[in-house]
Amino acid sequence: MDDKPVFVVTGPPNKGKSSLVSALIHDDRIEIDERAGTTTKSVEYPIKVDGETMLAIWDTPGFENVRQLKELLSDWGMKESGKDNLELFRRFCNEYRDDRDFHNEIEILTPIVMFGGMIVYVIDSSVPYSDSQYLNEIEIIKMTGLPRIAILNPIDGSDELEEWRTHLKEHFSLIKVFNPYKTTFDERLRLFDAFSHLESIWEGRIHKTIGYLKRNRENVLHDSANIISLTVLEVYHSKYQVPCDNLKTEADHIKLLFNELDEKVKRIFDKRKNEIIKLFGYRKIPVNASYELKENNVLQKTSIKKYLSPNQKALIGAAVGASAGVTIDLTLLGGGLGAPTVLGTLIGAGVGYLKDFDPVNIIKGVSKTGRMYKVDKLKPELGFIIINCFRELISLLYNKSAADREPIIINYDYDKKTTYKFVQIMNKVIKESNSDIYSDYVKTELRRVVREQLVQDNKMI
Amino acid sequence: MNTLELLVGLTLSNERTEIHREAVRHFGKKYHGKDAWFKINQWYHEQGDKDIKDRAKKYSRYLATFSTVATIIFFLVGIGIGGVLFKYDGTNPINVLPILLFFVFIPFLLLIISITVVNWNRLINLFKLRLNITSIAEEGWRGILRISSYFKKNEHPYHINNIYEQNKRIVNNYFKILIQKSSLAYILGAFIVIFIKIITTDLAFSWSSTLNMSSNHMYHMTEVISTPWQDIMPTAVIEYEMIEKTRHYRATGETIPEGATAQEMGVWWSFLMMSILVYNLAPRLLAYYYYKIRLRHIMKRDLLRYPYTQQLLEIMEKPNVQEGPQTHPINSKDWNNNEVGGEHRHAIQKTSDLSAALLWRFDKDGIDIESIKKQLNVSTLNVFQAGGSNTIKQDDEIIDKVSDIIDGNNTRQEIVILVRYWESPDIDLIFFLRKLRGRIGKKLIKIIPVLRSNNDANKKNEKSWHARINEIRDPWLIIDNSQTVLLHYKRV
Repeated sequence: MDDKPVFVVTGPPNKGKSSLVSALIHDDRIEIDERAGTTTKSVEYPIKVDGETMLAIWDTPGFENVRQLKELLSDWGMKESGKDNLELFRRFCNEYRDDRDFHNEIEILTPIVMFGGMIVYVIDSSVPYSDSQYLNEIEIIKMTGLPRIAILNPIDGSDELEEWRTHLKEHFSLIKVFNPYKTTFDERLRLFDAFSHLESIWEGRIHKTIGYLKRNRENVLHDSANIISLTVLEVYHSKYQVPCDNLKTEADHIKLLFNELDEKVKRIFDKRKNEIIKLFGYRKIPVNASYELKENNVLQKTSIKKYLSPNQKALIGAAVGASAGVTIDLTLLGGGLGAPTVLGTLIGAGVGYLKDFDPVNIIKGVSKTGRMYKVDKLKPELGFIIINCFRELISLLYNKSAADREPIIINYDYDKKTTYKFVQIMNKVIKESNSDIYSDYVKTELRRVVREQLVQDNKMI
Repeated sequence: MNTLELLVGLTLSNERTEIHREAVRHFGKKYHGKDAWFKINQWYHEQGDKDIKDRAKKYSRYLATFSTVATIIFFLVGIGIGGVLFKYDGTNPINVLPILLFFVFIPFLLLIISITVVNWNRLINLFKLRLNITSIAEEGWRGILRISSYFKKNEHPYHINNIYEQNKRIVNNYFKILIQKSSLAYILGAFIVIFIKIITTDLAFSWSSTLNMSSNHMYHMTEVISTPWQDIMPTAVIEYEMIEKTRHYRATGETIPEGATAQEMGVWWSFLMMSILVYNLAPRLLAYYYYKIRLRHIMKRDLLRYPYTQQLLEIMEKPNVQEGPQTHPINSKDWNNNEVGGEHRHAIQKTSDLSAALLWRFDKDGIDIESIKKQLNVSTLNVFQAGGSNTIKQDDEIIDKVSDIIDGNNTRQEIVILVRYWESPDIDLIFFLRKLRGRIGKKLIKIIPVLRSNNDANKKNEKSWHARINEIRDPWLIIDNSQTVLLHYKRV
């Protein structure tokens, strides 16, 4: 057997073979349809590192005429199992190459006879097992004499899993439950790891591949952090201005300025968003994710509470409460025996922990220069909103399977985010935003903070 | 009868549903003892549906026109190239090398390719090249058929594709005939021009090439070419001496090469004519007739395998015994998406009853048959297990049994096949259905979905079932969604 791992994914029609390949190879361009017969040709999908194929996965059409094939091969004297059988399979492929009745079988068997490898049998474990339905296929797979693994794909639930396990255990070296539509990056790596234990000659190469995939994900996170920090810097460095109109009030102008800012930031965000989606290797999955900043929507709900941790808020509350308590104590010349201070601290901490602060605005200052109204400074909240949008997007991309073709929709919630971490660096960004260039410190520090946050958000096994 | 017209006509008929049993049987009796091919030919001619015949005529006319136009174009090209290469104004003699190239070597090579094109696929596969010449030829044909659909707006492209899909071998063979015919026209055009030129003009031939080709090489070449006729027609063989004499160097300015006489320079004509005749005209003619005969042979074999033609032949042969209430002939227009609908549905349900049920890929022993009977609302039912762990031979026996049951009871005209609706249908079932249809003739086959529960997940393959069953285009085969059966296993 070749030391390059080759996996031939087979099974009945419409059980998720292409979905499995799509998930494992992480390619959302592989066609998947709810109707049977989408895959009509066997196609090789390799994982390459620096141009070298580390492993290859073959997507094949579903078995169609397996009963006739089995009878034909039995007539040719094929045994139940054995490596010599491959020669008969090869003969079958040569003799029946142009026979339309065996089109799918030829497509399935061609990579098997050409490369050997491991057969991955995919079934829908949410439907009951039946000898009449599946045994012929399983026997054909066994006849190849190649290592084989069964993937139980619980498309519509796990009711029949145990039954499947019972029936398949005598035929397959390994049985794994794997839902290609819902799988995460880590589960994908774990499946590759399981594959590696079946063929010792492949172990090293598969582990090497897993290592590459992990490192690649780390790199993607790092590159994403870079893109996010560049977005923030660009947003804060950009100029936002509207022409002055004497017929309009200042409030109208601020509104116009806000719209101008909103549109511009949205454009920058969308451009960078697409770069990140590409970094994660998605080419076709629709992403309905955009930076959201609506005057009466997000903005009004954005508060200091959203970017301070509860403990920080409790601390601030405690300090305020303690100050009030100390004042009372001083007024009473110590008559309260320090109780007002203690109580004030406790009440302040409790209120601080729970109470929301007043809404804040993302525009810190507006000025009129000549015939233009312009934004002088932006508040750090805008940066938090942008970073959090990206964090949400990356979390979804990170764990999304390429077989899951549902669009990505961002519904991000500030409360879950640790925005307070970015306060310090955002203040520095704001400070330098009006100068021609940002200092190296701001650039690297922002990237570092974002990267650390992304790694923390998406912990790997 | 135009073979193409018959081909298209029978393909289109295959989609039709209406067969007047009495008329077909009457026809069968009329031509009793004749072979099947004759009967089908004659039946199409005498009894074929007028609408289908008209459409078939249109298609065959279109294709015949295409073929004629191609032949004329090639004929004119042959005349043109012949005229150019044999142009002689009395000064520079005609160079025989381009004549050999355009009328002997290249056409001969193309002839070999056109004959062996079927095996190219395998040959190329041997060298691991992924070119598929056969499929290029197929695509060419498909293209021709598709173009025709643009001219006939009322025809759905499905029909065009269907003609090709159902008759791939026939159509490919026809394509080869077309190639041979066109090439024959090219060579014939050239041959006629050369012949006329030779008779009406005194031509002077020589051979001339920039390459440093010796007379010896030229002699060997002509010797090899003239091997087939050197004994029967020695005058059409060029001697070494003549080759040396007719070598022409244009730069010398001479119109007749040194040492050659004007008369000697004309001797090449018989060699050239024989070369064209032996290496092109004759083999092309043979290839053309070979493919014509082969087409007839393939057509006979393939067209007689159509379920429709098989059914016709069966009705022609078997006595038409009818008892009890009769079902009305049903037209395909009344059957939408293979679902029973409209008035005919009620007609069938009232007049037909269940006679046999086939459990496709079920383990009969594990299924609660009583529950199935109850759900299908029948008291007696012959249940058979088909597909799955059965061998194909066992399935054939079951088909025979089912057929006997139906033949034995004419009032029970319906077979139901219970299928796992949550699985997608495969070609194994299609083969089975075709065999069953061939055996039982025009009886209703109902596919009844078996579900595990009333959960929608059970029906996720519904579209696949309809698409697959629609592919067969058998109007007497339906998926009856109105009569699903819930699966119950026997209690152990």
